[in-house]
Amino acid sequence: MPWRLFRDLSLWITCLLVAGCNRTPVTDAPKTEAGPAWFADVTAESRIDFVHDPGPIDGSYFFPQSVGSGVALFDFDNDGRLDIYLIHNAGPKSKSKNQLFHQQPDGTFKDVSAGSGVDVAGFGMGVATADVNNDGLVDLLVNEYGATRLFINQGKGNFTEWTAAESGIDNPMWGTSASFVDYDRDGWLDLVVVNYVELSQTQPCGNTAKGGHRDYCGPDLFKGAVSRLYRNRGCDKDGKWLGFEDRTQAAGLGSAPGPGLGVFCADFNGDGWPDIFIANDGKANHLWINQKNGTFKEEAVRRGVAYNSFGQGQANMGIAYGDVDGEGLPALFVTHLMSEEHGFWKQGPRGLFEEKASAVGLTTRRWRGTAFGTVMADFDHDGALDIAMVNGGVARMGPPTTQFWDAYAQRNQLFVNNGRGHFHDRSEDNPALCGKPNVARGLAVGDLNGDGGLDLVVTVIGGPAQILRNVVPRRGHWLIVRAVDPALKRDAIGAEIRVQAGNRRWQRLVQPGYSYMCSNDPRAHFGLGAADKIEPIEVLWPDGSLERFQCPDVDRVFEVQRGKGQSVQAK
Amino acid sequence: MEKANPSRPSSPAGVAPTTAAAPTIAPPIWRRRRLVLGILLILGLAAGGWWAYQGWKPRVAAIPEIDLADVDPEIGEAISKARADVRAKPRSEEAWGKLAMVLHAHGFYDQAFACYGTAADLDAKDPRWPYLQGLIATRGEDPFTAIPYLEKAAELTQADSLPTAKLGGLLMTQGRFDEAEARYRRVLKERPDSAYANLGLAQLAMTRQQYKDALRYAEPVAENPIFRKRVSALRVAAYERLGDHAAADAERKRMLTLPEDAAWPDAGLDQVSRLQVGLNGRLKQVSQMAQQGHLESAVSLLKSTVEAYPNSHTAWGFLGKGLGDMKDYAGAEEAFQKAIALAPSLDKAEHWYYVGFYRQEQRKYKEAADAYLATVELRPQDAQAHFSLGECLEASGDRKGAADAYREALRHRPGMASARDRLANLTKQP
Repeated sequence: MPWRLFRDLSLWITCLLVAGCNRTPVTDAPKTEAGPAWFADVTAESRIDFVHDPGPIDGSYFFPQSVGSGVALFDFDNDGRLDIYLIHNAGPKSKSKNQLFHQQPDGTFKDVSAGSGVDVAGFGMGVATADVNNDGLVDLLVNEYGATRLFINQGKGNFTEWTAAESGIDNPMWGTSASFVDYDRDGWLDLVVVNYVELSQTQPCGNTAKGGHRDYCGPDLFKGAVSRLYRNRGCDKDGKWLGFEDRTQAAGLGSAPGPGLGVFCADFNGDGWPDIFIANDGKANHLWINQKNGTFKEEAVRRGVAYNSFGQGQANMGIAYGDVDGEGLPALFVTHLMSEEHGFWKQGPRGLFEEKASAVGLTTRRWRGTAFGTVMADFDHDGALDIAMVNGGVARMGPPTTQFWDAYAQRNQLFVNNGRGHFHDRSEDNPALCGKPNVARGLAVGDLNGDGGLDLVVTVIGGPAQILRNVVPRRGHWLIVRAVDPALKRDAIGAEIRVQAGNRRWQRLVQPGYSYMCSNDPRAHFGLGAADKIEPIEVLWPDGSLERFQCPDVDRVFEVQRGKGQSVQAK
Repeated sequence: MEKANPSRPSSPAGVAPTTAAAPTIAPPIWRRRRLVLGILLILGLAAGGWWAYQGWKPRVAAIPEIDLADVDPEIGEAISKARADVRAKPRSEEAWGKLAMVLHAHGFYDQAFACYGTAADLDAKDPRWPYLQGLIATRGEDPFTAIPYLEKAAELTQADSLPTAKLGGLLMTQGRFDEAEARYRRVLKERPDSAYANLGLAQLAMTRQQYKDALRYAEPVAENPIFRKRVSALRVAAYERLGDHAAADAERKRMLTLPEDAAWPDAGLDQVSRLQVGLNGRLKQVSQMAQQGHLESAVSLLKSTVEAYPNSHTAWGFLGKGLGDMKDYAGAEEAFQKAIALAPSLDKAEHWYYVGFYRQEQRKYKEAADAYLATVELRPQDAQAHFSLGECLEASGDRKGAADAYREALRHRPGMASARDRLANLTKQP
């Protein structure tokens, strides 16, 4: 008896002590039921063989190395299948040249870089795609540290680089993201080139890195650069395309430099004219509101998208945009550093935004990282936009390792929308996307294999590009809309596509330029849930005209051509 | 349940007999058993007490192992010394805290976190340790693990303190608005003018779309140098939401004139920062000395730094700047030439720029132009170097070269007014 009593007493005391010692319980994200994986890594079977070259690791910690490079998904030969363009960052003298992959009918990709004209080397950063000369072929623009290069598609897989003098794009700065937008609504796509910083000083960075080792600098040491606006001059009377003209100063963008990394062009204030949002790294964002006369006014503070909810400018990087709760007002999502919180600016009323990341569940997660590329996409076709983001550090998280970039690696994340605009972290269920730490930068989305599901392409500094196929089981119905203006022979970038089924409404913008230094599938993708019938599709064309198109069925790609629908009075 | 003892005489109703009968003597075997049991019980209780004490008393953890093989020798030395102090006084809170801070200052966060924990166990009343643990936790994959540490630190400090402010911010970020509000209100009760609490409540009010309240709470902190810019941004948004566009516009204009908010004073982190040694620590110290106008001390420290780190082009570059600031241009140029010889190619550009700068200061325009040319060859994006090249060429009489250089500066920085003015002047004059 005494022994048993002693044992019980001891156990009881031990339990008390253990409980008492554990005075600092660790908070945890709410546990949710595990679900099936949504992505499968099909890089090998896709035959994409691309390992990003960030240049030599020689101790100089050349800042552009840590910014990484993007990727473009675009159909350069109009065969209806998305092709892939991947960028290196090893400098103009490097043997590593950007690679163009053509998608074959069987879904594999063939490297067609050699002789394409886009197999160039440089400190490659971002990429934008659009048909700039309205000839029916998608052209390619590459931003580099020190140059912005325009490649005009000649057809048959050949591109010709236009010099700065020919194209009118003379940007010797550090270009990052870029986007095409018809800001003056003249039918010719204009160009926004985001520039980062003036890298005009060398500083010993990395003071706090383990053991005092040097590390990459951040943008705070440098002067933010002016982002540039180039107006498309259209064609002369002989049909010769005239290139662009620099309207940066005249349009007002020159008045506010900033360390820009991301860009997204959309009508932010509901006046029917496209505006320009620029995500600045470590500073207030810029929202350039189109004044409809060729000029812009910076209104980010006024409209609530300059700062986080604490009024602080943070490291704003990649951008996603979409209506997450079906209320008809798109929200803006911007990725940030691991030590910060990502920004989710909910819109309402039209044109005003409030930062609500915690209210929508984005601060409750299994882990966090420094995120760059991000997309809002309805991966499971339940009718609600989910958010994927790719992560990778900008500062070394441990001592230098044998594999240099491993010390910067972090895991990606996937947040699933519950259908009402609230997100749950499903990263752990998705090992292909989120399982392995990487130093990811670019994330592009598009239906690569034509099954209606949205696939992903991830770019990684110093690592292989990854092709992730959407394998969500029992996806809902879907629709992909390609909006084309036959008069312009190209995708109607800037058009808004509206789909309705019963009392559910969705809207998407035709704008491939988002995420981080990437160009995405230009078609509008809709997950429809259980809806197998839809009302006529409404298309608000970039010039403000509205048309309705009867779509016979769902689960298909549907092309709408301007002028062939039923004209409707725009509200 | 105890069994009845057949050897014990029974008494009615269990009452002990009052008669002075001779005491019953237990047989020796039972006496021995009782004795053994008693000893065993005492021994057991002693062992239990010892066991319980071992569990209860603050554990002194093992000193974390640090691989110092690839670490700056000065940092290695500082860490070794702090470890030796802990080894000498293993139950000293100060020794553990110092080791933690030395590790923290040099990026060994996991080890620093553990050492702060031991320091906190040894002295549960010092708010520094849980606070600094909290700061490290906020850097990790889940910043909300910092909450209990900041709570503990907040309990140990006055209500209107940095741990409370950081805790409130973290609670708000996690969506625990009511808890954050309760904390801020508690602070405000004690200190109605608390900047942290007023700002926190203003931010909470914005989150809850109570814009008038937000403006009310923002008012007392509108001129606080730590918060004024962010408060101004908050006021712009609040006025806009209330439909008062004129007030929003006026506030926005005011905001544009405000300097960046100052950093939050953080005595704990400052203490950590002061422990930073090694090349970066020295250079940080030099920068602070220079900012305070102690140029001679800065240069003296830099001279010892290049002795300690003779292969560091950064150290030589800093020395060059220091000497240049003291108008020892020849010395500065010599230091920069050493930096150029040691630097990787991209870093040479910066040193060439300063060679040009100090040559220009000496009105050696042609030689300065050569240095600036070397800069822009390595770093063609450098608008300032193009501009300075233009100045030197202009001073040397090369007007065309100067105009080209100004144009190049404007290519890279379109808003560069000085380059535009110089170019206009050049093109205006015959």
